[in-house]
Amino acid sequence: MKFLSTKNSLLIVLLFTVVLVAFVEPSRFILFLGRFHPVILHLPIGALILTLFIDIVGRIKSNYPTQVVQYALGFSTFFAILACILGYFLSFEGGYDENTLNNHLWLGVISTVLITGLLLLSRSKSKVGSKLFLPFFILTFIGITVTGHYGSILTHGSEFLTQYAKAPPKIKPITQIDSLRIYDNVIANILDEKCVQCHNTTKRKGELALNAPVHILEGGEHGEVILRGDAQNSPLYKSINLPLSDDYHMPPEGKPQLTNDEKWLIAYWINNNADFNTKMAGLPRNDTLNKKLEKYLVFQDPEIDAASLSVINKVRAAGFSVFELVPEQPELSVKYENAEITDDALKVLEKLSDQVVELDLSHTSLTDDMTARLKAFKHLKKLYINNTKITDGTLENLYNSKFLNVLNVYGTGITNTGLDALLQHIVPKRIYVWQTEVDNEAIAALESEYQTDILSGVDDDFVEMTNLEPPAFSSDKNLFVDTMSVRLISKIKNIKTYYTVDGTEPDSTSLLYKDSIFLNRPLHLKVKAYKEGWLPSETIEKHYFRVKQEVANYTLVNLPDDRYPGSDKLFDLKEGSSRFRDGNWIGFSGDNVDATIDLESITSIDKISVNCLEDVGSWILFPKKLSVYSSLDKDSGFKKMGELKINRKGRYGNGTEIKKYTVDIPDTEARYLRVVVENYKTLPSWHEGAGTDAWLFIDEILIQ
Amino acid sequence: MEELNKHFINNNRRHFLKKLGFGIGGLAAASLLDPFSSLSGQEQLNHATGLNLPHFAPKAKRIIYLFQSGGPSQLELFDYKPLLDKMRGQDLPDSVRQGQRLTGMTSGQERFPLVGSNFKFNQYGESRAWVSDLMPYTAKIVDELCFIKSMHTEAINHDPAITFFQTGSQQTGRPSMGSWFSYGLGSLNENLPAFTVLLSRGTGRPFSQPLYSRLWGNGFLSSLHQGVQFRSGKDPVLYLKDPEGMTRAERRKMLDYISELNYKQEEEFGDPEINSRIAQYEMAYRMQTSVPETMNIDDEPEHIIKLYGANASTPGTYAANCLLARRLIEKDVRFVQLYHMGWDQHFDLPSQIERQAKDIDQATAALILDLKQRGLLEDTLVVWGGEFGRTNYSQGTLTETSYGRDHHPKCFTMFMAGGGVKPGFTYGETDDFGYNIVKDPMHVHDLQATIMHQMGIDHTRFTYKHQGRRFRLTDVSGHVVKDILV
Repeated sequence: MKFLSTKNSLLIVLLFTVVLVAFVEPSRFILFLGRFHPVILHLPIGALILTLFIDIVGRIKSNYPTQVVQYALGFSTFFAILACILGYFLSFEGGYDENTLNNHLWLGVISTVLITGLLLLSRSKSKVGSKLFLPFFILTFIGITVTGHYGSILTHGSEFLTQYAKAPPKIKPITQIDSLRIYDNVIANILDEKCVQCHNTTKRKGELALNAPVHILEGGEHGEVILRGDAQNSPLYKSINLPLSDDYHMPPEGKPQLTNDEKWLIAYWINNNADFNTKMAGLPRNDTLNKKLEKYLVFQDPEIDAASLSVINKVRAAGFSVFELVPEQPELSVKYENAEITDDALKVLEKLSDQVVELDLSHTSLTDDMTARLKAFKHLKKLYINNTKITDGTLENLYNSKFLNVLNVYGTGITNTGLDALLQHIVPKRIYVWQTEVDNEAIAALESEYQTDILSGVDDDFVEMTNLEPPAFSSDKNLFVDTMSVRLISKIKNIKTYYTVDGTEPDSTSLLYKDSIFLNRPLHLKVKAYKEGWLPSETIEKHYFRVKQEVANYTLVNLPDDRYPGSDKLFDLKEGSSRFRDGNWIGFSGDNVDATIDLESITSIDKISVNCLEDVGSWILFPKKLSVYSSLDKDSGFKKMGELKINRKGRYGNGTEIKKYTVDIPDTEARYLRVVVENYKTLPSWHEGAGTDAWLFIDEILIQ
Repeated sequence: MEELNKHFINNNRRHFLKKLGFGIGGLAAASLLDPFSSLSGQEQLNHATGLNLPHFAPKAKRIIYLFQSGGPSQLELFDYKPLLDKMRGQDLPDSVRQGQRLTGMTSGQERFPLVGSNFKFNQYGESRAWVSDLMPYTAKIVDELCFIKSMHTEAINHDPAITFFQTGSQQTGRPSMGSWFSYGLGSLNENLPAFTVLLSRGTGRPFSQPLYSRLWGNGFLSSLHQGVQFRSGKDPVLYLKDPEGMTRAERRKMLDYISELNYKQEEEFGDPEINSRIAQYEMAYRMQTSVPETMNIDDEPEHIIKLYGANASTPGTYAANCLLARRLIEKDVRFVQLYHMGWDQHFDLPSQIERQAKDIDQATAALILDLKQRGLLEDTLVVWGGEFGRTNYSQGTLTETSYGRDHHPKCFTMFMAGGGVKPGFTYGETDDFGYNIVKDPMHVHDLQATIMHQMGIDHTRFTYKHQGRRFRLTDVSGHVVKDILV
C-alpha cells in the first residue's frame, strides 16, 4: 500500500501541474521550467537503454532481476512524463515550425504512453505479458528515436543530420562581379552564415525566418523587417547596428558578429530595393562596392595531384627552393636561388609544372628562349620574372596561364605592344611594369580597358627638392701638433663641396674642396655641399686647434668613474660632442682630475687649456678651479705656475655647454707638468641633487 | 650537477629505446607514415620547421615592423579633434576620463587642461584620410595605408607597453613576434637571419628611454630565433668578422672541427641547444659575406637615395634603416624590425615632434612606395606604430606655443600597408575628445592575431609548450579583425 500511495502522490503532483498549465497563462516561471526540457528528456532515454541491457543479460544468465527492471521502468516513466510536460512548456516560447513541433509533441506523448505500457507489462504476471515484453520494448525504442529525430530538427534544423552525408554541392564559378546575384550570392551568404541558425523555418526566433526570400518578406513578430529602399529604418538593419550590449542587438552577444563590410552590403541591398533576383550588372556600382564584392566571387581551383618527393628533390638539386604553400597541399612555391639560370634547370622544373602556383625567377639571366617552358605551367597564380633579360616574347608564352593573378615584369624589356597583346588573352589582377618600355599613357589606357592594375614607379614629382646630406669629416680629431689634412667623405657621388676657414658662411663662391684641406694654424672650418637637383646641404663646422705636442706619458691620481672611463682619452686629440655619453668624455664623481704629464724633454709652454662639459640636468658642472704646476725634473718638486678660479653665482646653466678653460703660464720651461682640475664637489643648494657629489667631465688637456 | 642529471635522463631514454629496438624500427615506421616530417630538416617541405605551418595560404610572407618607440602622439599626426582646439585650456571632464589611471608623471597634476594640435590637419587622397602638416609625405600615400584609429593597450609605461606589443605579455620572458615567426615559418633565405633588427635614434628627443635587446629576444624558443641586430658602422653584426690574419678557408676548417666536437657532445647529452649552436656557427659563416653585401648601399642609384631622403646615405638613420629594410625584404628576410626612438613628448611637444616626424615621414612613405613599385608590397606587410598614444590634456604648463602630453593607453593610431590589408581604409573611431574609443576597438592582441592571420597562422593554434603550459603570442585572447583585410 505504501508503494501505491507514493505513486499516487507523484501522480497528483503531475496532474496538478497539468491543471496549473491548462488554466494559468504561460507565466515567465513556466517558460523558465520549459528550458529544462533538454536536460530531463535524456534521463528516460538513458534509463531505457540500461533497462534493455539488464533485461537481455538477465535472460541470458537466467537470473532475471524482475524488481530492478520494474524500478528502472518506473524511473523512465516518471521522467518521460516530466519531459513531456516541460516540452509542452518550452513550446510556449514559439518560434518553431508548427508541423515539426506537432510531430515531435505527439510522438513524445505516444512514446511516453509506450513506456508506461512497458511498466505495466513488466508488472503483469500473465504469460502473454512476458512474451509481449520484448517486442513492445523495441517498439518503444523506435518511438523514442523518431521523437528524438524531430526534436533535433527543431534545435539544429533539418539539414543538420545529413549535411555531411550528402555529396558537397557543386560550386559554380562566378568570376565577374557583373554576374553576381546580389541576393543569392551575397546577402543569402551573409544571412546563412550569421543569422539563419536561429531564424529558419524550423527554429523561428521572434517568428522570423531568414532562409528564403518569401520568409524574409513575411517578417517577424513585430512585422516587416525590411523596408525596401530604406535601410536606416528597416528593423533588420537597425538591430544589427545596435550596440552589442543592447538586448535587441543581433546576432546575440557571443555569436559570430557581422563585419562592417557585411553590414554595409546589407544596407546597400535594402537601399537598392532589396531585390532578390537582380544581378550586380543591373545595380548602381562604384569602386568601394566592387572591392567589397570581390570576396563573394567564386573561383574554381584546378585539381592538382601532389608531386612526389623524389621529383621535388631533383628540382632542388637543380638550384630551386621549393616550399609547400600550405603543408600537405599540392600547391608549391618555387624560387630560383642563383643568378645564372639555364634551360636545363627549367627543364627539370617542368616536372612540377602542374604543382607550381608561385614561381620566382627574378634577378636571373632568364631569356625569352627559356621561357617557352613556362607554357606548361598552367596553374601559375604568381609569376616573378622581374630584373631578367626577357622581352615581349616571354609574354606570348603566358597566354594560357588563365589563373595568373600577379605578374611582375619590372626591370625587363617588355613594351606597350607586348603587354596589350597579353591582356587580350589573360588579365592578371596586378602587373608590375616599373623600369620597362611600357609608358604611363599606355598604362592608363590599358588599365581602363581591361579593368586591371598596372603598377609603375613612384611619380617623379613625389619627392620635393630636398637638402643634400652634408659630407662627413673622415676623422673626428680636431687637435693637431704641426699640420693636419682634413678629408671629407660623402656617400653621394659628384657633389661639389665649398668651405671657409674664417667662420663665415660658405657658398658656391667659397673655396672648392678637392682631395683634402691642409691646416697649419688653428681655424674654424665651415663646409657646405652642392649638387644639381638638390638643395644645398646644411653647413657643418668644426674648430681646429693646434697643440704644442702630443703627450704619451702621464699619470692620473684618481681614475675616472667606471661608467665614463678612458684615462687615455685626455690626449687623444679628439674633442667630445655635447653628448656626455659619446665616449670621448671621461667623468669624475666628486673627484678632482690630477694629472702629471711627462713632456719627455724640456719644452717652452705658454698656456694650458682644459676642455670641460657642463650638463646641469645630468648633474655635471664645470670645475671650480684649475691649477698648473711645473718642474724641470720630477725629483726637485713642482712649482705652482698659475691658476684659474671659476666663480659663479646664483642659479646657472640650463642646458649643455662646452667650454675651454685656460691657464696662462707665459714662457714656462718645463719637462713635467701637473694639472689639477678641481671638481665642483657638492651640488649647490638650488640643484635638484643638492648635497650629493657633482660630476666633472673633461675630454682633453691642451698644451699650447 | 644539472648537466649531469640531464645526461642521465637523456641516456636512460636513449638506452631504453635502443634495448627495445625502437630506435631504428620506429623511425622507419614513422617515415613510411609521413614521408615529409620525419626526414632531416633539409628534405622537409614545410619551410624546414616541421610544424605544419602555415595553417592556410598566407597573404603576406614577410613583415616590416616600423616600431615608433616612445608613443607617438596620435593627436598631432592622424587623429584630428577640432573640439580640443575649441576647448583649449579647459579641464578634461571627469565623465570622459572615467577614473582612468594616469602615470606618476601627471597623476599629481592639479588640472588637466585640454589641448588640440598646434599643427593643421587636412584630408588627403581618395580615401580622404586626415593627416597633419607634420607628415607631408605620408599624406601623399594615404591611399596605400590602412589606418587603425582605435588601438588600445593595457600598459601605461614604456617598457611593459613595448614588451606587450612585442611579446604579448607585459612581463618579460616571452618570445618576440619576430621570433615566433622565425620559429613557426622558418627562413626563406638561409644566408640571412629570419629576424633582423635595426635601431635608430630620433632627433625629437635624442636621449629618451633606451631599448633592450630582450625586446627582440627568443624567450623560451631556441636561441636560433632571436632577432639579430644589424648596426651601422664597420661591424654591422657584432663578432662576425674573422680575426686579423685568419683566412676564410681556415675559418671553414675550424668550424668543421668545432661542429664535429659539437655533434659528439650532442650525441652524449642530447641538448637541443647544441644543435642551435651548430646552426648558428654555420649561419654566421654565411653571413660573413651576405651581410656586408646587404648593408652596402653603394649600388643604390641616386634617385632611390633621394626617394628615401638625403640622410638615407647616412648609416644609422631611420631613412637608412628603411632602405636597408627594403634590401633585406628583397632578400626574403622573414621579419625586419625597425625601432625609431624618441617619440616620448612629455614636454615641449610641438618642437620635438616636428623634428621627430621629419625623421620618419619621407622615409616611411618612400619605403612603402619602393616596395610597391618592385611588387614586394604584394606579400610584405608593413606595420607602423608605437606602444601607446598620448593624452588629450597637457602635461606641465600649457602655453601659446608649447605643451606636453603624457602616456595614453586607451586610444592611439597605427597604420599598415600591403600584405593583404585594405588600402585607403580607416578602421575604428575615437570620441570628440580623442580620449575613448567609440567604434571598433582593436586590442594589441587583436593586432597580433590579425598580423599572424595574414602570415597564414591561426593564432590560437600556434603554441609552444614551456614549463607545463602552452604559450602563444596572443596569450589567451585576440580576434582577427577581418574588417581591415582585403
